[in-house]
Amino acid sequence: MKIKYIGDTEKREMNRRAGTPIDITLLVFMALALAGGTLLIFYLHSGYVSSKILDSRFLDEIYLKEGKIDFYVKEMMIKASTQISDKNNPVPEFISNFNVELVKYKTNGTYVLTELSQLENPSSNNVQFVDGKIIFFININLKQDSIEKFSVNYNYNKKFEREI
Amino acid sequence: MINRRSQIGSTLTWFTATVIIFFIMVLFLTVSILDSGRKKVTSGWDDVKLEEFSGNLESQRVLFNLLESSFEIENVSMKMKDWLTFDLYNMEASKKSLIRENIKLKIFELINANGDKDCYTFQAISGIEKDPKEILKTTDSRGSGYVSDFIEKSSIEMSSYYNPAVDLRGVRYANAAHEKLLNRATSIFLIRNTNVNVFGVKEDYQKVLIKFYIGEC
Repeated sequence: MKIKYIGDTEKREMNRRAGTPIDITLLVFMALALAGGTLLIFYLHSGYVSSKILDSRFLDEIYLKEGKIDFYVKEMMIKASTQISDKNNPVPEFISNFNVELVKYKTNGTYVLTELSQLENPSSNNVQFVDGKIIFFININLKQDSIEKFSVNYNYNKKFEREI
Repeated sequence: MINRRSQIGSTLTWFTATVIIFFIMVLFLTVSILDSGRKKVTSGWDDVKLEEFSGNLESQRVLFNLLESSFEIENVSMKMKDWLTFDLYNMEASKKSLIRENIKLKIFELINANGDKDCYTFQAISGIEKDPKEILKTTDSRGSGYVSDFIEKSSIEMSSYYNPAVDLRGVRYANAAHEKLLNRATSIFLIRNTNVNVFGVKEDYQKVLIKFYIGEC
């Protein structure tokens, strides 16, 4: 077996031919790829902002409806009770007058506030005549579904009184 | 000696690699900082919405009080809600103007009580069932002039931004500001005691649409 002596000049030549060691080159390129990839992800995923912000005001819509129902029912009660002729047994007449007034809030078959439909034909249990006053109990369900992730379901109960 | 020489060569390669990686990291940091600094809400792709809610609770409360308040015209005292259920379309201009001035006076009392800081808008339109904007949207262009005229004759309107003396340059700004207030306004319907419209045709009971806003300008 013949052993060939490799001199310094030949070693340098071999190193030159082999170039930089592969592990170091890989490390540099992988560092570059990692940094580049991360920047690309930053750019693609957070280039623009898109968000909806909700605060407690989303309940306002329900309170606004509540206010409107109060106003409309009071208006209907004023008109329905002033037209009562039988002061001794006013409940049936009140219910009839109330239905007439309620229809006035319809336009093309739809109420100006859709929840008013729940007041159609009030039961005689909800209307009482006590001490010269008509007492009208309402129970309306107010819903709000249009708000993202939130659904509001509110049962509004109120007692309205009107002297006749 | 040979081994030491090879160590020097290897160290030199590592040194170069470290310098390169250091610069990559500096570049990464610089770009990251610049990129994060760029994230501000602008027009275009950026879309941060604060949910809008129709109506305004404070305005609604004030409106109910206003509608229940009374004023006198030609020795007749009535609540505002009753004055507004008159036939505004066929009303004499002088009477309509008096109603308008009385409403304005009531609103000004409220604004003065709050230190003159608030803006307001008030619109009462008789004989319509929908928002005037929706009506005009669905109206044929040939009829839009007539509809606008009908709405104008059937309404009482006032606003912080309404000023007949404003010159043409200010009209666009005033209209935009007025629209902004109208969009925030609360609305309610009053029922007129008639189901006969201006054409003499019986339809649903006539309504008066009231839109009102008082608050921040």
